[in-house]
Amino acid sequence: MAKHDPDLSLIFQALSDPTRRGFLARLGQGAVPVSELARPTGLALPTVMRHLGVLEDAALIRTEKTGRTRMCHARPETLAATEGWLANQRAVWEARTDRLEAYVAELMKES
Amino acid sequence: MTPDTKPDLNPETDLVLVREINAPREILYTCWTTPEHLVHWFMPKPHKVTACALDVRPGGKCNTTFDVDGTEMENNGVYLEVIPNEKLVFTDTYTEGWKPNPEPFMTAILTFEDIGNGRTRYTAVARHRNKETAESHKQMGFYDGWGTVVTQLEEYAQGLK
Repeated sequence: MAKHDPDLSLIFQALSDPTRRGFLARLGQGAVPVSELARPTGLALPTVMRHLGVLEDAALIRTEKTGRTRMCHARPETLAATEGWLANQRAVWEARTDRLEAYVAELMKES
Repeated sequence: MTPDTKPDLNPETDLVLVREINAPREILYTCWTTPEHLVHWFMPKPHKVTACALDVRPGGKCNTTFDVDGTEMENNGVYLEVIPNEKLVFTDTYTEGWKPNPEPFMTAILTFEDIGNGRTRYTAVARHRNKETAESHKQMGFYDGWGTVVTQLEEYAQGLK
């Protein structure tokens, strides 16, 4: 996916998780190393890395290795793609599909 | 319909969502066409679907009423195309009896494609009338929990600029 053409589905899926939104909010204040991002969450490092991978795939953040630490940076230009009415409609459809998927999973468990 | 064979889409007004779902298409179709099921997932909590009447045939009504923070919102339309377990097309351009809606908003095209192993490729295309109507319906995005998230993020993104 080209930089100027962000994938809204990936973005909204990445944003569907409160932990990941928390990371973004923290990164909005400035770049931090992964370890510092992880500390307040109490989450294991592999879990944190998985969340960061999702954010990175959605181009919401970028990470770079400097020496022995991995730094995380926000990519606010990607979030800008979620502005506007059509992005809103997409969000409605993404969320609705999430709920349909969850509801159907429950239905099939019961039957 | 797959994204490769999708109709000419206007990137300004149309959106496509494709999801491979771990459920047979018959069940997904039933969830979309049975009020008893639809009310459970159509709206994000705490909002509710308070009424739902579906007459699943071309020209049949496709009406839902929402309770959004105590305010009732009617969302009425008709089905345009119905292929059981495969495809549903509905719009709010008309209501039952082909009564034109003075302010139509969108047409939705849903396809349910069997991809084997009890899985379905679910495609939703939402085609909107034009940017101006869409802007006037902008609040539609906001009664969804997602709308709130997007709004918060917009503010957040604004703060970063």
